[in-house]
Amino acid sequence: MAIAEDRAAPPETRRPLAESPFAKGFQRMVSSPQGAIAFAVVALLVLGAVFAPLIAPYDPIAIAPRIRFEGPSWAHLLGTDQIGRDLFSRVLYGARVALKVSLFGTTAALSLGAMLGIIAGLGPRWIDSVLVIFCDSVRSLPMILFALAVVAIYGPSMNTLIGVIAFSMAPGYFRVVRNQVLVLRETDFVTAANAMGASRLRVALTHLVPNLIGPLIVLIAMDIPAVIGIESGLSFLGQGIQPPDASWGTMLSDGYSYIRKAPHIAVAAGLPVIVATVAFTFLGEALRDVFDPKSGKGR
Amino acid sequence: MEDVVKIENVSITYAGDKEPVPAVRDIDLAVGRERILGLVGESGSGKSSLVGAMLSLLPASSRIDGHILIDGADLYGLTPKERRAMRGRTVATVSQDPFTALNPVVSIGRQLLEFQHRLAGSRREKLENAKKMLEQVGIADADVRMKQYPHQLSGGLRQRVAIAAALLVRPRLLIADEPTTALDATTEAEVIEIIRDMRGAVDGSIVFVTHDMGVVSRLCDDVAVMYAGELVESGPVAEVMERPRHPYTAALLACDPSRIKTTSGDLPTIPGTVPKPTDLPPGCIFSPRCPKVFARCRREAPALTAAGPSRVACHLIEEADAAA
Repeated sequence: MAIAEDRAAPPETRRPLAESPFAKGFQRMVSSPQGAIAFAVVALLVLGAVFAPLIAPYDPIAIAPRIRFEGPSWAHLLGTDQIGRDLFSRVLYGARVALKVSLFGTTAALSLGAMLGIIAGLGPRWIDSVLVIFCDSVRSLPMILFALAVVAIYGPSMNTLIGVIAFSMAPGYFRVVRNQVLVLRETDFVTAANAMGASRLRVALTHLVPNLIGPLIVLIAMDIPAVIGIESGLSFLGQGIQPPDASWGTMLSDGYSYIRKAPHIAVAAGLPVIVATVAFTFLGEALRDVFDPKSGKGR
Repeated sequence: MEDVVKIENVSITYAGDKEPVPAVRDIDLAVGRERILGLVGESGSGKSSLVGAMLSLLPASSRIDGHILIDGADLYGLTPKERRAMRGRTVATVSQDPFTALNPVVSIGRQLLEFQHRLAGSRREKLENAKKMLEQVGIADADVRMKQYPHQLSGGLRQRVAIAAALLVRPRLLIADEPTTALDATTEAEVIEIIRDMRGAVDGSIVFVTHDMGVVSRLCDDVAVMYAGELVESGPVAEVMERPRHPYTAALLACDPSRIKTTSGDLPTIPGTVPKPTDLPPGCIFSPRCPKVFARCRREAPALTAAGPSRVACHLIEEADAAA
C-alpha cells in the first residue's frame, strides 16, 4: 500500500468515485464470464418464476386427455405430460415453487441462525456453549430422514417444507455469524465504538451487520441449490408439494413413471433442476471470490 | 495547575487461568491540563492495561483497585451507566492500527457520524462537524473523503480520519495508543504534527502511548516510564531525556538509535526479558537486568521518590542523597 500515493497523485487522476464495497463487488462478480452467465441465468429463472402467470401459455394444472405424451412443438414448447398438461407452463410454475421455498426457507434459516449467532457471539460464554452444542446436534441429523420424519408428523405441505429447511439450515448461518462476530468484536473499530460508549445494539447495527452481509450473501447463494434439491427430492418422494400442483420434483416423478414411453417429461423436469442448481452454485462461487479476502483480490 | 487525569494507587489484576495476574501495580500518576503525557514501556509493561482502565475497556474479569479520576469524577466509583455516559464525551481514543480502526464496509462519513452519537444536534450538523474536522486534520477534499470507504484511503489518511473521529467529541482526555506504530516514518512525522496541532481541540490533555523515545521527545511535555507493571520514572520530558535517573530509563534511551552519537558495530540492547507478572523478582523489579544493581535492590522494592522535577523508583536516588 503506497502511503505517499495520496499526496503524489494530482487531484484529477485520483478516483473520485465513492463506491461501496458491495457495488464494487457486484461489478467484479459480473466481470468474470462465469459469474455473468450464472447471474443472467439466475435472473432469468427469477423473472420466469415471478411472471409465470403472465408468461405461461397454459394453465399448469389443466388436463387435456387428447394431447397426452406429446413431444415438444411450437404449441407446447416442452411437450405435454401423461394427462396432457403443458410442461413448459408446469416448469415455470415449478420454478415458482422452488424459488418460493428457497426464498422463505433460507430467509427463515438466516433470521434464526443470524439471531442466535449474534447472541452466541456477544452473550455470556455458557449461552454460546449451549447454542453451539445444539446447532452441532442439528447439523449431525441426516437431513432427508429428518425431513421425512417431520412430514410424517405434520403432513406434506409447502409450510412443512419451509419449516424443515429453516430448521436444518439455520445452524449453517449460526456458525458463520457466530464466528464472524467473535472476530469482529475484537477489532479496533468495535473497541473504539465501545470506548465511545456505544450500546451493544448500536455496535451490532453499525459495525456487525454491514460486515456480515458479504459472507451471508455468499452462503445464501450456496445454500439455494441445496434447498432446491431438497424440495425436488421430497416432492419426488411424494412428501413435498402434492399433485396436481406443479413442482420440479412431482414432474420428475411423473417422468420417471413414463421414462420409456415419453422421456421428454423427465428431461423437461430434470433440466431446470440441473440448470438452477448449477447457476446458483456458480453464482455463489463468483460471490465468494469477490467477498473472500483470501481470493487474493481483497476488497 | 489542575490535573485532568489523576491515577491514584491503581492496580489492575486479571483473573488468570491458575492464579491472578497482577498486570499493573500501584501506579500513581497525574496528567495536567493541556499537557501531553508520553506513556513509555516495553511490551508487557502494563501500559495498555492502564490505558484500558482509563477507557473502561478492561474485561469484566479484571479487578481495578485504586482510583482513576478524570475531571474529578472517579471512573470506577460511578455506576456503569454513568461511566458509559462519560465515554464518548469525556474520553476518546485513537488506536494503534489505522487499517483496523475503521470499519471496512461503512463509509467514512457514516462512521464519523456514529462517533458523535453522544452529542446533541441534527444529522446534518454532525456531518458538517465531521467535514470540518477532516479539514482541520489536513484532509483536503473532505467532501469526497466522506463518501469514500477505508480501502480507498492510504494508511496516513486513515489515521488522520481516526484522529478526526476521536477529536469530534472534543474530549477532555485523548488517549492515543501507539498511533504511529503501523505507519512509515514520513507519515509518522505527519501524524505527530497533527496531534501537536490539534491539542487545542482537546479541551484537556493527551496521553500518548508509545515505545519510541524519539516520538516522546518530539511531541510530549511529560513522560512516564513503565516497567513490568510499575511506574519507574516520571517527569518533564526535557528533564528525563537529559538526566534519566532510573537505570531502565537510561537503558531505553541508550537503545534509541537516533540518540547514538558514536558509531559502533552493535545496536545497544537491554539484556534479559521483562519478568512475567506472576513471577516477579524479589526487591526491585528491574534488578535482574539492571547494570547498576547492588545488594539492597534484591531485598527491598524502591518507592517512588522525588528527584529534582522527576519522580523515580530507584535506590540509587537515596544512595546519592545520602552521599551528598
